[in-house]
Amino acid sequence: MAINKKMIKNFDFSILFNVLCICAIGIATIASATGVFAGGSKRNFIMQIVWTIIGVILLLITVFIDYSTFKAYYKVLYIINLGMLVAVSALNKVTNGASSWFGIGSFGVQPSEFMKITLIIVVAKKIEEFDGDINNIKNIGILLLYSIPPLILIYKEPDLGTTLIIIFIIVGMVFMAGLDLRVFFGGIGVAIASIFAIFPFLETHQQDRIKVFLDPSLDPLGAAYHINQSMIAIGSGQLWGMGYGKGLQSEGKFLPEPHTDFIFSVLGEEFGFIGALILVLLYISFILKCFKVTKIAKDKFGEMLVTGITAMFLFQAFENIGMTIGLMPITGITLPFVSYGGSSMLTSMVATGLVLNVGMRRHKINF
Amino acid sequence: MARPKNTSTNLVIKKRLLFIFGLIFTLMLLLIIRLGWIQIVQGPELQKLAVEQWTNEVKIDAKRGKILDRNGNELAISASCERVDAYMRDIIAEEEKNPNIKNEMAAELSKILGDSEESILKKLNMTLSNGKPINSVTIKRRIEKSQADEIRKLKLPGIILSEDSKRYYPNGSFLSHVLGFTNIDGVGQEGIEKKYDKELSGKPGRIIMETDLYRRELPYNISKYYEPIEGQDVVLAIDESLQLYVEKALEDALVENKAKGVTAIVMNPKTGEILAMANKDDYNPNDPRNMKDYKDFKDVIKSWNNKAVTMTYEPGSIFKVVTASAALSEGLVNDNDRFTCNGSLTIGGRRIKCWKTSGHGTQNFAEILQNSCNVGFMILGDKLGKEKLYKYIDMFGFGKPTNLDVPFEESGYVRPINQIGPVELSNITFGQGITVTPMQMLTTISTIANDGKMMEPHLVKKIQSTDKDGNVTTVDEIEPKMVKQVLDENVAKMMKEYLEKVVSVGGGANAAVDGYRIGGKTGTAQKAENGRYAPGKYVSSFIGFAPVEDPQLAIFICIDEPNPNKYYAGQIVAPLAGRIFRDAFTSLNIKPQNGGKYDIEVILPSVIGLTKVEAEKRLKDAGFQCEIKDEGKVVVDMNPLPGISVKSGSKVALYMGEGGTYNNKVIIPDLHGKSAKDADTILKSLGLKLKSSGDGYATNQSPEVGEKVPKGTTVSVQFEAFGD
Repeated sequence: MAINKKMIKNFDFSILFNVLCICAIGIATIASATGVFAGGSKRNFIMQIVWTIIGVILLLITVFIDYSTFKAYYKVLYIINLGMLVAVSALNKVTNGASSWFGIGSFGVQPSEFMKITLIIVVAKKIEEFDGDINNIKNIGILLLYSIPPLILIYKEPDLGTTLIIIFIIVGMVFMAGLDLRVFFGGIGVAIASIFAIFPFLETHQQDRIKVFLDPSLDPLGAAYHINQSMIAIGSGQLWGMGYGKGLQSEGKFLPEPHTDFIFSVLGEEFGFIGALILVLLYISFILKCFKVTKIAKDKFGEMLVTGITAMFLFQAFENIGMTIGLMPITGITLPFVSYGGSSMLTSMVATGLVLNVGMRRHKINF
Repeated sequence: MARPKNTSTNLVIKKRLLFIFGLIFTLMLLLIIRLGWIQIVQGPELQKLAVEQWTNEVKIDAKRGKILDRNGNELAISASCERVDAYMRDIIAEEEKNPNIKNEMAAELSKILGDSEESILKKLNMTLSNGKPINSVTIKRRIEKSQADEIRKLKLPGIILSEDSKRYYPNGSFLSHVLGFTNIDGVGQEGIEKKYDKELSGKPGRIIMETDLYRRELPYNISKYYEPIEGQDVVLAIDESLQLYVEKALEDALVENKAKGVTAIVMNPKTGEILAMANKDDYNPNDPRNMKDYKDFKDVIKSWNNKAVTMTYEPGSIFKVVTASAALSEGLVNDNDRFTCNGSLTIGGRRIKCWKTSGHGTQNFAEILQNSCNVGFMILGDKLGKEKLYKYIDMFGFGKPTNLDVPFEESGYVRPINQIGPVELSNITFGQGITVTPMQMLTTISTIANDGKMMEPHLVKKIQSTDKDGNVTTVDEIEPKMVKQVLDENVAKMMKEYLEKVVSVGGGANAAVDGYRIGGKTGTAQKAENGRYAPGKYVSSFIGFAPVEDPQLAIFICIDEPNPNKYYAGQIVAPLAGRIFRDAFTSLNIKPQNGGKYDIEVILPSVIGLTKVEAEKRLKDAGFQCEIKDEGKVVVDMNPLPGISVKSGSKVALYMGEGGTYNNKVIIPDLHGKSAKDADTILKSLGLKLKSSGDGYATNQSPEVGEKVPKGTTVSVQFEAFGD
């Protein structure tokens, strides 16, 4: 469990540096989005710095604990986290029409955020147990048995975004675990069919978002308002941007949630295509670095753990940026390290810590 | 042995690894391409749109929906007027040519609008917090058409006149407490306007200006007009004509009784629809902040209170319907039970007085309701016990709002059951030591009227929207909703009959309307002030329903602090109830029974000793048919005997004979509840004499009802004002 020299040598500082670069862009954009330069409250700006620092500390703590410990305690983690989700649905503290917040003091913790990592650990552990035999009904059944209860709870909150992320993560993991392609595409086919099947049962505002995604001219002041305003913001950034702190869209309060879900729109408006490109490139580099760790992992659990986390970052970044530019429908998914918010920041940092953890312990310690 | 499989698995995994790398690149490339498309290709156009939105976008308020009565009569409408806004971009452009333009504009506008030059100039010089120019400012809203036309003639730069709307209540103070009013920005503050603000207000639209001041087309085809979505119309269950009658009656009652306030509510007990609801005094929602009649603004705010739902008071004897229902439901009382009232009862070591200190004597269950005998109810309370009484207090919904669709509703106060001792219990049985709202008492009597089924009361019948072509579509219709079955159907039926007697012969006699069966209960309660009952301050109430056989109306009426010289509910509220019932029967077209002919029980006059012709004439005039039996000159006997109450129109047998031997006995009639004048007429027609004592309505008589006495006997009758 202890840390030795070799492990420190194997600590990939470039990943941490990459993350900190993304965080810095996030903090700067939050300052502008919350109007710090127009005399607005500095609270969000300062809190995001605090969250980043706490996040880095958590990341380091995560690195210290051998990841096999998480494997050993996967059931405990799973039960505690599931219990928190049940508690949230019972408490039903409503913010933004979703009951996903767990009030602790004046801050809120979102158990659904942490559930992403817990499920990655659980699925990775199970895939390791299957010993390469993923293509049998019993084993697929076990995976479904673990994933479905939290998915239902999170979907009911309602948090469609996190539900989709978790589905994407699990799909990515079983794909990498060698799921038979016929089963894989069969599953995707069923999923697409079921989207059409459940569409009538979705909440009205969820239906509207999907309809508007397909045709933004439907309701320019209602459901399509977000996407139109976001595209106006990003588009008006052009090549070089309107300049830091000079975006009209967030200043004029045309953009909804400019410091959380639509933070990328503010960035696009103020820093232009160049700024947006830099952030996307930083994500590409970060995600690839993470993914490369799968190749050096010493065991199946480590490999699967990193696969799941990579899938998480990939999907979150793609979905969040995609929704601001009309590539994806609008869901409440945050942009990792950039959107304002503690739960999102801490989860992303812990996840990064796990990747570094696997990377550090690439060789057996007692050689 | 697993080897081959593992190698093949490894091969598969390698392929998939490669695939994932490909996926990452593809997805990210997609983002970059899309970003490039939006930011570089579409960028200039979108930037222009952003700037236009910033400088030229204006919010346009949607027209607020109407409030209508159940028959479509307009109760609140939005009249059109105009507004003046200044679009700063054009003014700033003009300022380059004429640096003094803002001052000049302020002076011109001030002349027409009557606002000070400084205040207008201040608006024109407004900037954002960061010093950036503001896109537009509103100079003034809701100006007259004539003012707008004058401003138009000036052709000032950047000054735009557009349509605006003003809330208007065509009937003034009519229904004001129900309707409520809006503030200057058209947001509902009270009543339906507040409760249904979301439905009424609609969605604002936006204009993105197409042309600039000089009417040049802008080079970008990006102008948009997002039409506001008009508010929906709210249709009330209120019946305008009935409401008018009720308000008239209340106005008269307020003046006649020199009262502090009067309140009345009329509801359909089957559906929970509120047909009329009024409190007097009221206010004019067109000018709710008028201080004319008030010194303190707090009193102005008080005048907005819809007392039908906000007033909480100790109800007094009308609450006895709850105790009576509880006792009947629990099977603790039947018609053979007798209750003896000596004017007071000692409970928990304390002597609690009946309102009639001389006592009511021995009564049955129906009579304790008719006489509103407190002692009788204390005995019932003792039989019930606090748990059982509280069960019904809770089931009838006391201590909780009735969920009427109003913005502010009080709950009243029900003392926690663990604080209830024998004295408190006794008090509650006749409506003291508990506070209620008028609306709660109304739902209670409605529940009894509606076979024990409590319906959720509601003011709004439906929400509808009208499109540009005037087509009306119903958006939402409020269906009658049963809250719960509070009483067994049979218990409710019994209660209805008992309460009918309260109006036909008991303390509510003044509420009676010929041709209709009405049930009800009166109550007079002293008002508590600072923990003591205040002398000379009363609230007199009435709850009732009609027609008894198929109740279509339930009403609540109360007079708050009537003139202390005449304050008993039976004297002042019951006649008001009668008037409102009569008006309601007319305006809701509720026909009297038997197509107008009502079974009236009439006391059979004595015709003994009269000749055949005379006797026949007397009886025909009184509405009876005659059957002559035997031969003779004069009537010597009749069947039934005079003095008995008989349905008018029934047959009376007259036995003829020769004079001298006739049976001159009559039966003592029931005079309970009759006025001295009526009693005298009845007794005279029977050949009896009246010896009256007291004042008001007959409460006691001697000899008793049904005794056979010779003609010429003197009947002594005690009259009392109906206390309760």
